[in-house]
Amino acid sequence: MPDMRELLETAYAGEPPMRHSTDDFVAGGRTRRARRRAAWAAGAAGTILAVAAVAVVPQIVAGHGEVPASAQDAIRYPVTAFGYTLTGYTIGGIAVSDPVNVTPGYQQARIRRGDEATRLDRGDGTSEKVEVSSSVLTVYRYGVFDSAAVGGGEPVQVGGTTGRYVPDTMLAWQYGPDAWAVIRSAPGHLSLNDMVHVAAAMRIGPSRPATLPWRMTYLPAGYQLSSMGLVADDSVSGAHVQRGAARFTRQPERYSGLSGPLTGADADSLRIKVFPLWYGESQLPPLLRRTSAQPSAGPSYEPSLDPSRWPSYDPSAGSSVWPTSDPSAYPSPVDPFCVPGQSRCFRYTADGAYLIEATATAPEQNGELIQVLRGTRLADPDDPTTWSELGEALPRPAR
Amino acid sequence: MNSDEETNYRSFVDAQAHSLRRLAYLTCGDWQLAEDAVFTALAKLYTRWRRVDRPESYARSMVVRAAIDEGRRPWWRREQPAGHAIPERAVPDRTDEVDERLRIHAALDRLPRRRRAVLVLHYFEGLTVQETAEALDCPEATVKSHIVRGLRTLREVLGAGADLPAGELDEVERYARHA
Repeated sequence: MPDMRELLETAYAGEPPMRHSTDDFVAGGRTRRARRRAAWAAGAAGTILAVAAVAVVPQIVAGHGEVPASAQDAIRYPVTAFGYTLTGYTIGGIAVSDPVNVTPGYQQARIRRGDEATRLDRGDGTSEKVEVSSSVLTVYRYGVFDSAAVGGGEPVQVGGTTGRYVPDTMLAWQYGPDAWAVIRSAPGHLSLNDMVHVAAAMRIGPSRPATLPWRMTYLPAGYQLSSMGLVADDSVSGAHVQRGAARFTRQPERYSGLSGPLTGADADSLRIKVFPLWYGESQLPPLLRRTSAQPSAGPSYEPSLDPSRWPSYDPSAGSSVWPTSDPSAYPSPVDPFCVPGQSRCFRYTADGAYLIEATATAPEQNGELIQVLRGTRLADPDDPTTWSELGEALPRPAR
Repeated sequence: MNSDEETNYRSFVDAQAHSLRRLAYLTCGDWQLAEDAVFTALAKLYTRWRRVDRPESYARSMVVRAAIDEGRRPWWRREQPAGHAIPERAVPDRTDEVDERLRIHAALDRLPRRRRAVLVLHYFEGLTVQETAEALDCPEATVKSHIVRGLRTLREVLGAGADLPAGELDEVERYARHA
């Protein structure tokens, strides 16, 4: 008969491996100390001598591994593999977003003119107006972009440097030694003049960590983070319908001699994407759509934590048992389900507002993708202040 | 923090992180929340390393309080997990051991986090009532009350006397008389 301690020891049996290493804890402590000092310095300077804060804060932050924001360092690249230094701006009615995707080799932002938008079919007979971006700004880390890709372009002055313009396609220019930025436009979207204005106005500030709108506990063995952001690297331009994405690969990708961004098309990739419900469901095969299957009754997206309502799960089969003929047997929103015959699984969030998709190019067992989805918890995808830095968002081996 | 201090901090983390996470897990019942609580607490400890005389008790207290607080954060309330009783990996788990563990989880889940923390600190960490009160910054009478009510709840859920030894049952009565 166990005593109280043995009873508690039984409760924690089967504990998973730690996500954080000792280095992570030290880094967390340093970050916290840097933030406190910066906040203290900003507060004190604001109270006593506002002008002094301009000089003091960057020095303090710089002492802890961040990039200073002085004018001499206006053009810098993130100090970590997954960080942002580009900040969104607007010039002449053309808006450049904050970075929406980042890899160890570059960061990408969307370019949108005015109020460009489109209407997308919601799949239920109605449509949704969404913003659209037809051009993309890619800022490469030094040494990553192969300038031969624009070797045949026309010389064009961009600020104080000479860029290369490939008509109706792209403008490339050096923002630092062997460090290139490229604007790629859809045909007819941006003129040369537009591109030059956008390029000349680009500013890069202090490095800030990238964040994801989820925290996840599980990835199949061997996967490393390759790209991440608000949108996936295979859909940076186009309608603004994604609310977070990441791509993981088993083989490290090379970031040198690139003529353009990587899309993961040739890599052994595992992707996670978050969609608002209406768009996510439009991507599902018709049988799997809850809304289209029950249009008159109206979907009921309340959380269902009652295990008796979950579909049966057979670990040996590696997947949920998906009803193929009886719509009334649809699973509750919180349990993952998979598209038969594909390495493609989904999970509704408990509040029913979003759909999370996990796909793999390799023939992963659906059970693995289900485990990924089961171990993923969403913050508020529409509120980036709730997103998590990578140290908290991903299991340690994937970072 | 100089290099010697950082070396000491690293040694402390190496030695204590796992046990602190278990402590947090027993308090909040979720491994991810537990590790977040440990991360938060140890980051705070890093900034105060020079000023803390007893890092073990400081970290223990901070971890338990963070584990209690983690459940109150709106971030996590947006979505409930599909069930922390689901195994981490897809392996058959219908063994007696797992059944027993799930039964104990269900019993512990019946306890408010603060009450659960009291039981964990007192029985798992071996703290006295006074030390437990200091760790949670509450009166000793509150600790005793939590012990009495917590053990009674566990008795009800797990079956009276079935899994709690006589010693603990006696303790319930003892604390009940003084609470």
